[in-house]
Amino acid sequence: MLGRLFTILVVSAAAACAALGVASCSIANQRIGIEAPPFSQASFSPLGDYLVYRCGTIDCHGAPGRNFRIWGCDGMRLNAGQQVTCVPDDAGGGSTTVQEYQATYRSLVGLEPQVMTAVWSGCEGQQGPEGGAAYPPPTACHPELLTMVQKARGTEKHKGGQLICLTPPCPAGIPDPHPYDPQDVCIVSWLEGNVDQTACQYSTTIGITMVDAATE
Amino acid sequence: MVRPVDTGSLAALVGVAAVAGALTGCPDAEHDIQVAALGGEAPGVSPGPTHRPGQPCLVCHGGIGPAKLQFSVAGTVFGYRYDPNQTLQGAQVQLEDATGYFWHVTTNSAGNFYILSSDWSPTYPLTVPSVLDPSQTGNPLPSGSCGRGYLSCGSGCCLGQAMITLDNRDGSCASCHGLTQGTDSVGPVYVNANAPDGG
Repeated sequence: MLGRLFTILVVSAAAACAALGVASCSIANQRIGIEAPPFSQASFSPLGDYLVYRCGTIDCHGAPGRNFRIWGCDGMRLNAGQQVTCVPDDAGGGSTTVQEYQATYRSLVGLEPQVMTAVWSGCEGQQGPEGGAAYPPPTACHPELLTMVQKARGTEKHKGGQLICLTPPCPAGIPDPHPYDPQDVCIVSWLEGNVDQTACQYSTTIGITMVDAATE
Repeated sequence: MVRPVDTGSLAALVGVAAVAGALTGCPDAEHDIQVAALGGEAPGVSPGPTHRPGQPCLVCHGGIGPAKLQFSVAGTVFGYRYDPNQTLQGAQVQLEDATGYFWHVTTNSAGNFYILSSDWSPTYPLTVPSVLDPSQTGNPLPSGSCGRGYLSCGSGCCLGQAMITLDNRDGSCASCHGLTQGTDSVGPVYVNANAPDGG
């Protein structure tokens, strides 16, 4: 009787230990997943180039102290030995590298991982009538949930101020949408998985007046 | 027995503390660190328009202190790209804010320039269409445009540079243009991309 009871206790204890071990193993191996537009240099670089230009200067998000960090040749470089210049030279200058695009991507999607997952689930694959990105985004797609978008649109307090204007009147210095703000189109189209390269490229020209073409 | 809280006295205490804090100023440890990092004055140089070339001016002159004179934009211009020891007197700096308003300023004997915040509070982002050395001129190309390294000035061409990126929010040039180029510094503001020896 006692022997049988002892056996039952030993077996139960062993099973409990095994279960605990399995549970511990599975918890230790669990990873926080982020569902977001997949990364590739081709799909992210249009957005990345715009982010470096408008947001990633060294006085703004091209700084390690920011929660949202941006790397690129016109701002903060990723690797020691690189210089802040897009002009290739022996001193370490050169175009934004794929590693820098990746680092910016991770910073962006990892800023609010659960929100990014929710936004992607509603925006993924949305298409316009001609097969391009859908803009304005359809009702299922909510880019405004992201703090990054809120700050750029001026609906969330932002030290850099409002950068995007969806409906006039627009603050001083921000172009009126004609009919849309290309910066917003760039961001939203990327969130839909179909980045609008034209909108992103145009966004990198806003605000600059070149006096002379003969520049470094 | 628990004594009830005298909310009137508590409110008065909080009010006094708030007023005291406003009068004395709450400490900003981060700003204090930034100021301390700038170090002391150079030997023989008194605080004034020619002091601390190459340093981020608005750390002290940005309104938080310790300097009383407040600037909106300020910086230093150097003669050559890779020589942080040769500042440039008489350089002409052109600034444009997001509303299209231009401001022109000339550097002093230390290569410094500054714009008082009472004179101009620009709307960001800022651009710098030109930083010129008017003492070094060049002839226009047959096409009429200026050659590489030269920008239009008056009726001719002057040695100079244009900033091709934005200044999004910081009026101190040196916040991005540290004296040493690196992963987080563009290097000093310059007019001549060549080395002093022409290399």
